Amino acid sequence: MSKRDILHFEGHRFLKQRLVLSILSQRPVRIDKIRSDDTNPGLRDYEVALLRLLDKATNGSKFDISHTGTSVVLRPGMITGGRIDMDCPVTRAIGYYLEALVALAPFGKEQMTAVLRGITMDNRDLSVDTLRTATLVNYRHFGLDAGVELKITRRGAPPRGGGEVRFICPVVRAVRPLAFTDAGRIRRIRGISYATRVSPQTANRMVEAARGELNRFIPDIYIYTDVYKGAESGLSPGFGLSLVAESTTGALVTAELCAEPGDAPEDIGGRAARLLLAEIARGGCFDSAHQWMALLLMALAPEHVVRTRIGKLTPFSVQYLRDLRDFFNTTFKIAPDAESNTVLMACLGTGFTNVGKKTI
Amino acid sequence: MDGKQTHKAHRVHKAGASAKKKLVEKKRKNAEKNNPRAFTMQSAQKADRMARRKAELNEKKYHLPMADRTPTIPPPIIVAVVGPPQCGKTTLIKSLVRRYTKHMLSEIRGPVTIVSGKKQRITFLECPNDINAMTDVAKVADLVLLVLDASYGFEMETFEFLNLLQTHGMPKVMGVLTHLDDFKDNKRQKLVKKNFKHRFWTEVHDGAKLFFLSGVENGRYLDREILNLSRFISVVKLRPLTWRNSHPYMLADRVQDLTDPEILETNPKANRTVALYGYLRGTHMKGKDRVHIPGAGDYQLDQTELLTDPCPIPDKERKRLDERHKLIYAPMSEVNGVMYDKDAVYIDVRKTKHEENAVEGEGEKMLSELQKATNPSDRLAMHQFNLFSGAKPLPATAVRRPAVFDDVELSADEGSEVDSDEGSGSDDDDDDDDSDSEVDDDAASSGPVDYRAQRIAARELEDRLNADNDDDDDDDILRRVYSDGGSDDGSESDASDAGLGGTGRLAPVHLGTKRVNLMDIVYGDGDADKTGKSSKSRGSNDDADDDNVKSFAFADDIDYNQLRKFFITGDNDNGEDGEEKSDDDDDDNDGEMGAEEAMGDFEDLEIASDDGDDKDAEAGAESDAESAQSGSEDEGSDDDDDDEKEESNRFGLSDEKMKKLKNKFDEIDNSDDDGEKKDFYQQQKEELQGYVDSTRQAMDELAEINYRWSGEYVKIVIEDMPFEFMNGFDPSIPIVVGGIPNEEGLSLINMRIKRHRWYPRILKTGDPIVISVGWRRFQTIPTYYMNDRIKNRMLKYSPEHMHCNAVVFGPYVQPGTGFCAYFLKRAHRFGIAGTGTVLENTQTIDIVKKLKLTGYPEKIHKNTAYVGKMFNSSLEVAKFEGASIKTVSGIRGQVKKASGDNGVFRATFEDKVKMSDIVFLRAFRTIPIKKFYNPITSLLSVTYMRSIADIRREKNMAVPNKADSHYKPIVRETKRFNPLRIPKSLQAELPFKSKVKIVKTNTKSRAVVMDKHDKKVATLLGQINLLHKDKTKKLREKVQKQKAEYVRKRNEEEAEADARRKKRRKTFFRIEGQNQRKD
Repeated sequence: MSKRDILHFEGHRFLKQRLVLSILSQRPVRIDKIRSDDTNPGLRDYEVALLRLLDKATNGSKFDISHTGTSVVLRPGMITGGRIDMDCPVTRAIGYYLEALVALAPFGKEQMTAVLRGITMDNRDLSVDTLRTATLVNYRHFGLDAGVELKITRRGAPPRGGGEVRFICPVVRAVRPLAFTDAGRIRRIRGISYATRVSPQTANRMVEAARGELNRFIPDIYIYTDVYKGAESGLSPGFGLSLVAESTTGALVTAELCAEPGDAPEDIGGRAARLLLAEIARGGCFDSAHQWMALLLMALAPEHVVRTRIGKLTPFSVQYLRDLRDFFNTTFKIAPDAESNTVLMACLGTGFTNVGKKTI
Repeated sequence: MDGKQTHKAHRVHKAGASAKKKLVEKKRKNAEKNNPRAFTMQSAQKADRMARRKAELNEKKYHLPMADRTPTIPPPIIVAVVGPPQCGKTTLIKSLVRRYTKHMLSEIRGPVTIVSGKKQRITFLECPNDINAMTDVAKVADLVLLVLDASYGFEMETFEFLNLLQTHGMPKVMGVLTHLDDFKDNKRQKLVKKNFKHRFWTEVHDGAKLFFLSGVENGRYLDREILNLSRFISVVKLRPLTWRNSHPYMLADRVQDLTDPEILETNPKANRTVALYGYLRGTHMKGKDRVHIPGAGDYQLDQTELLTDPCPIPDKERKRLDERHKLIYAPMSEVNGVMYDKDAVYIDVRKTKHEENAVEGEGEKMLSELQKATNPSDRLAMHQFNLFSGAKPLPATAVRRPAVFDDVELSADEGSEVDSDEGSGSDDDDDDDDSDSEVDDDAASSGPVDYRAQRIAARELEDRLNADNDDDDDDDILRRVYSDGGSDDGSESDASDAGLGGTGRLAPVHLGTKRVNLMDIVYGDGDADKTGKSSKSRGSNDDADDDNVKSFAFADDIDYNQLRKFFITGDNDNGEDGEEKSDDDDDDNDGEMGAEEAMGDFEDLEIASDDGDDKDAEAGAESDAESAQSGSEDEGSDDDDDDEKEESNRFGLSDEKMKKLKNKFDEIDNSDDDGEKKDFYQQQKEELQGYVDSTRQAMDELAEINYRWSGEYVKIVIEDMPFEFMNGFDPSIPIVVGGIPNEEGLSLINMRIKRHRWYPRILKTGDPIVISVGWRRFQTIPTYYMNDRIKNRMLKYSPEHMHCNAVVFGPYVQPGTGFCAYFLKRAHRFGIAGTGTVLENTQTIDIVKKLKLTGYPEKIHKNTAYVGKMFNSSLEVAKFEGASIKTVSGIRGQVKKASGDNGVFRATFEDKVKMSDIVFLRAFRTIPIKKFYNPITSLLSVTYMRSIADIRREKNMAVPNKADSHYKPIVRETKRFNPLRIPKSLQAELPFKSKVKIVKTNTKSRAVVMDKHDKKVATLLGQINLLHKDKTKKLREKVQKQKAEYVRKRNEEEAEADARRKKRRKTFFRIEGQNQRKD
């Protein structure tokens, strides 16, 4: 009998996806040389927080972190779900942690209710608005959307955060196979312009600027202004804009921008709009921020062929594909479509089923 | 363990109320049965209830929709011939094989595959009489021929096997009754047949097919009867089974040891490299997949290879199966000394003498080893295979005809020359490293020039990744691609563009090579991966993080004209060059856009039915002149036309477009109607079948990825097989290779189990048991428990006739899978100990058992007592502070606090306790689940855990006999209490109310003495009383008589009146009838 060997990786990059894939595929993983040459070697606080979060979300997982923190061994347990409550370090936004839960939560034993506190938006990770309006909406292509909810109870801008979200995700037995190759054309644009602890006018100024850019393409634009006051507005001032364009076939394209100190609201609005246009120009059924999600849930599909069309493969997705191959032994068929400058992805699902879910 | 438990038999009541009730009920039922018409539709409520019940029953008939994955050329159906020893299994297979192929096999070793019809093949498999082999056969058989010995009667193996079948998804079962010629008496034979049939029907299902084979002639059954049986086999309909529909599996019909003889020479116990051959069934398989071989364990496939079908279905349409095509393939049985391989047929000229003599010379040994190991075809096969790996699998005709095969080879070579002009070079490569990954081989087979370009591109990408990583400014993107001038023309020299996206101007011819490019960049080959990894480590010292950083750089000069085509408002035909979508698509989009502009209401409908409609529209659009042609001029002219006709309707659209829109609208309308007509079940079924069909269509497309599909004849190689597998190899034991996607982690398996009703013992917690679930068989230690809604209570023994739950430790199993439990050491006539289903996989479970702590009062105050001997230290007490306790007499209390260090504690009670009381503390303790998982390696060497009882028996040890554990008759002495005595001083002080009052009443015992007068009075009164009694009695009698007379009279009168009335009616109706007739 051949033992299943532990998977080896090196470096701190792509740490999150490897841990998540390890848990989903039930394959133990060892990650070495985590910033071993750095002056400050080892795991960062947010990575440790991620490990803690994964520990809370699973049952029976064993995390071994070496003395120096430069290597991690994960022997995955089962995803449990249930109530999770965590204060996230402010070095990364909540999106960083929430993305891991987005991949895991549907395959738990019971419905997950996670309350995360920290920074709700920054320019590094997906903001909770985009997660709510696009990422979780993208679930529907895979039959996972029923009952999913993300509530932003408090907003927290960097650097001090103070935001809070509640993420509720019921469990499923299996993913629905995806056949989504028609990207369609953009039929409407929605967005959320948020502002905390600044003049309420800021949000409207961003909307104005964004509309100025986008109106020449499509009249159906509605950008909600979301101004938080008092205790709900977190600990630091900040504002930003998250935009979602929806196509005729239901493809979602997102772009977002968060203000850095000294930025003018008009700048933010305009730049976010142009980011959205750039993203739209890439085409595909999933935008570059959600390629990983499509790829993962395609690999987890039943044993049928699943296909989709995406814009350019991002380097992140390329690595994701490699990791999917390592963990799930799934190879994608990647066919560039020269006419529309997009890439057609197809693979056979691995027949993943949620073994943790109870039957009666 | 040996003694059979005896149970009290159920006694039916023969007298009394319930017996009477049953009798009445039975009579009523009989009346209903005998005269059903009289009892139909007596009440509306009943009819309603019956209708509802009928609907319910109908609903029950639905199975969970399952996709039918049978490929266009299905693998041979596995017909397992099962039965107890000496009942005629081998004779049956021989007869059937002879019927199909005119071959008489001398012995059956391993599966025998034959072509049985124009579109059907059959693999016959004889099942050895061993529970391990039987479980494996039950897991793969499509059709079971259950051979029954009529002269002997039913045997336990048959029932065991039926149970195994039921738990692993019931395939079709047919019975075959043999040894009927043993009966000299015709009448008796008939009776036996009848009895067999009835029992068989109750076991399988009513109307299950049972064949009678009346005798043996020339070493085989009568031809006529076998012909009959073969006809039934050929028309058998197979229902998909859940487990097999979601897992790949293979029944190995040939096993070969590929180990390097050099290694074996140095270390005969080295792990072997084993090749298993067989038809792949179920889903698909791929190299590096994990599989489970029941009886051998989990392995990783080293490679899977497609071989030509050794037993192909004739390709041409013929009226009847030609003799030439009635092939037989039984490599382990060595049919006529012929063995089939990939591209050749080996004829074994009997066993060579030196082999038989076992004394081999050095040279001969070497020669024979060479023959064995280097099977020249294997190496040849490998490179051939690689050469056309991208192409379609060979047509089935290519088998067994070397000439044909050469052709194919030639053509393949030509193909490679077209691709690249150094086909020989790549061949060399392949020959050198056989163990290279398939991806590599793929890459190698594509043209060399492109390959280099890919490599360069890949390097560039890698470099770029590293570079990004090094300058840790936030411009580093991984998640979002930026710098998008690229979207405009795709000619940007940006590495990601060049590699991943762009160059839309390439002619379709190049698409093929481009495709390889992209796959290769992503997946690369082994060394590319390594560089990737090292680069990761290189880049590890900067803080800029990697995985999910967004980037916000974008080109300020967005080409708005280009962008417009992405919006529904945008116009399509501003095409400057040919980089638009296909024309059909464009038209389609136009239509959609128009529709949305004009009739906004419909947009949702269109979204809902996106794909299908598009396809329809495309199909329909082909005939349209507009869509058939391409090029900007054409479309320009279209525009002009549109302009001319623009005024023709209120939406400002041309007539043609309007017509198209209308058609589309109608289509949507119709399709919606259809959708409503189909019920939910039908819809689900169709959806599922759609997935399967699309997968089937995509098989060619995914050929590059080297999936092996169901129905193909494949060779799989496993590298680290223990040597026992080959040493103790017995071809008669079936070898199954089952895929295990995502089923390898170990966890606690929570299952619902019921002791089998024929198993003579109940099951004990902690007794190691073998569980056969999915592909696996493993020994494990179960813990039985039951949920009482609050907690899971451990059971020491499983209930006798009820389901209970059990927890075992083992690999993940999909919830809902059936399983079968048995003991390795067969102790009873019936082997299956229990059956059930898997409920859940979990990492922890709380199963508790009751723990009763006892203590004794040491010192008693009013309601407080000091209790000792319950705990040993104050620490233990501290854990139970606040716990509720109770005395035997029922006085409840609470643990308060430890007093002293010896475990004595203070407790309060609701009343004063006695020194003679015993204090209980009832608690529940979570028991640890024993994590024992021992896969049964019956194909290697079996080591298994024994139960305690087994060990005792083997060591001749007595069961420990504690005197305390014996049940003794309970002796209860009646307690005598002294009468209550109140001191006199106390009595005196009591108030009058509470004082004991002594009232002497002796009335009863006093005698009455009467004087004369009194006596007289008494006598008189007595007489009067008597007279009165007599009088009333007479009166009552008289009244009764009168009443009876009256009733009689009244009845008479009534009868008379009735007769009169009847007569009157009769005359009336007669007259009425006459009148009517007159009318």
